[in-house]
Amino acid sequence: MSELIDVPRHRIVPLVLRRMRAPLLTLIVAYAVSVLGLVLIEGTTAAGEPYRVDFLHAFYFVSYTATTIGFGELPTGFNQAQRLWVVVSLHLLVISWFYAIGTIVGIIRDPVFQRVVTWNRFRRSVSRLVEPFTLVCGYGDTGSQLVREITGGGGRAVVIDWDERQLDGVSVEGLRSFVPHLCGDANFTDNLLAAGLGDPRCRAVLAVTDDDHTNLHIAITTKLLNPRLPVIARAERDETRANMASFGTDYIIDPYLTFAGGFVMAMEAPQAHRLYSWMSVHADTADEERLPPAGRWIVCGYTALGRALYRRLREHGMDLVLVTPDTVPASVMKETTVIGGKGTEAVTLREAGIEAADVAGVIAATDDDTDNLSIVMTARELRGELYLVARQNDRASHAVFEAAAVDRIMESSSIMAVRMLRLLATPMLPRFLQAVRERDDEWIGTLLERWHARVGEASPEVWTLTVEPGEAPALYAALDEGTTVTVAELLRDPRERDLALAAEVLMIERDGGQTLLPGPDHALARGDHVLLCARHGERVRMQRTVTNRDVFRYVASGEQRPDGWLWRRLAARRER
Amino acid sequence: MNLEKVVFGFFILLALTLNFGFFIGEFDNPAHHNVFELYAALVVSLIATVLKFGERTQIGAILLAASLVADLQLITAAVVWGMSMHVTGVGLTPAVMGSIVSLSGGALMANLASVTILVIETVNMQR
Repeated sequence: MSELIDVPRHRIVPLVLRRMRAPLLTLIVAYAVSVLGLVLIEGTTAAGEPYRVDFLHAFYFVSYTATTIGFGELPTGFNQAQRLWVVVSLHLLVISWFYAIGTIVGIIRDPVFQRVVTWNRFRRSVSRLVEPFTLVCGYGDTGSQLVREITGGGGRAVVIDWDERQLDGVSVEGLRSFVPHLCGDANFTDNLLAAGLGDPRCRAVLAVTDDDHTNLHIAITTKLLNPRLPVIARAERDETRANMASFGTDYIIDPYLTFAGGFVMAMEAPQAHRLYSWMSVHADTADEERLPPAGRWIVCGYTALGRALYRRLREHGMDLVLVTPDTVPASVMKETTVIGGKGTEAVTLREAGIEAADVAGVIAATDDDTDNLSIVMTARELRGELYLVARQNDRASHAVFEAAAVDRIMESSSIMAVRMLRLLATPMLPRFLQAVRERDDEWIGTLLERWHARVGEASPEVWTLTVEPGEAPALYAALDEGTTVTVAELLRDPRERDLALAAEVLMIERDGGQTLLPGPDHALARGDHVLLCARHGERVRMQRTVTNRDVFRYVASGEQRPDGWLWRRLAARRER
Repeated sequence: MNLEKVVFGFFILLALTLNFGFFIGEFDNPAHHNVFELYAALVVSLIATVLKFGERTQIGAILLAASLVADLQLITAAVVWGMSMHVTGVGLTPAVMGSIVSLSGGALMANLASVTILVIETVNMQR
């Protein structure tokens, strides 16, 4: 790998010195003139004899006069000529001091100077992080949720956002660990480098600003400067997605297509949908949830969400009616019914055919929260039994949407956050779900029933176990010695080996190949990535099996051998 | 012609010449070394130092370092002068004068280095 790029800190000292040049020169000249004058002007001693003030005393006098301390006329009282000169030099000195102090204050208050200082401080606090961290670009609704979850789980995060008001949240929200944050443009490579883009401790980059172009820039910068770093980027436009994919962005997420995809899946493959929600990090009460019925959908608003739904519903051959006040491309007009209007009034919804028997529900997908609520309420007024979906744009209006009691709320920031967290924690899980999705829905249903019986109805803990010395030393050592370890053996309970843990092996990845749902006799190998799901608490038990040699030996063979140097020797002697 | 360059060169050269003026003369004879000359050399040297502030180049850094050395030596010479006259009261004995002049001689070397670097840089610019 090429050498990681480090960005030097901005130099403050030359900046200050260059601005201090003029005031310092003024001060030196003022001092020099005052001292010289005092030395040259003839004074009179108390006895009335003429004398000259020497340099030492002149400098002494000028020093305390310039700083307006004023000890008086030392060493002897001045005569009229000296006093005249002191009046002149006093004004000269005080003015130059004020000039110098004023310049210093001006430098400190200068926005450029402050930006440089904050930038340096940010860079230093990032470079002082000891643990691995995740770089989050954009601290909007999605970014703040991500940072809260990452820090809540004991991880570290670094944040860049250009909006100072949003960044205030970092200090206000009471996050579990200190999060270095910079108010700056993520379009500047220097800012990204200062945030640790080239740092070996950086685990991943999350580009979640609300601007597609900025996200694109972050993704391409990361891929050029630090290709090993995984990038998860948000992209709403098709061309951005294609662009990001072209240079190998690891994960590109569009919240609207994600939602639309999930929505269509809930209709087409309800069992797969149940599996998805069962395994998601933040399980909604999956079983109580009403699944969307099949039928015609009324989509209000040809927005990003409206377009995504239109595309996905059409792809799966489902019928829809678009209600939008905006102009719609001719190709869309040709393929589907488009009604002009917002959909907030009963008239428009009636026109869209809400009273027809085959209508399944209404989706309020406009960019305005008030409109969305109004659409949903009007639709309920007309036909209470319809399935209602409302898009929530502003995270702050969550309470209102909860109170509206719609069947499903589409909130893009939490959709993004949940997906990204899953990708960060278990990148294998999305691959597993993808592989499962290709199977028959009935089959998924029976699978899910089996898992419910074994692991429990509550959402399981899902994690990846990598068979390597650092993570599973006991297991690795056993495989290294040539022992065969099967999946069933791995799943044995370390407290009683005849029982099995409430856990399942979902998938094993070996050298790029996948084994979906390996059987109990499947043998493990070194370097395997094993995706597991288990009831909460079982993970710790399995951790003991794979890390502790004694526990592992008991689990594998049932043998409880004495261990420790002394006991091992005694056992060896007994065998002889 | 750049006025800034003229002022810069003027002060650096003046620091050298004043320093030289003070230095020249019988080594330990107070009559050959005027206190006003030392004063002028010190003030001009300080001004030259401030003029060199804020340079980011390597040459600029060396120039600043040379100036700081000259300041240090001249200030020490002035302090020795003041101490001998007013604090200890031994007056300008040949020993005291010798150390003052040798300190200013050190400063002279530093100023000479400054001027040499300045000349080299100017020649290298070739315009």
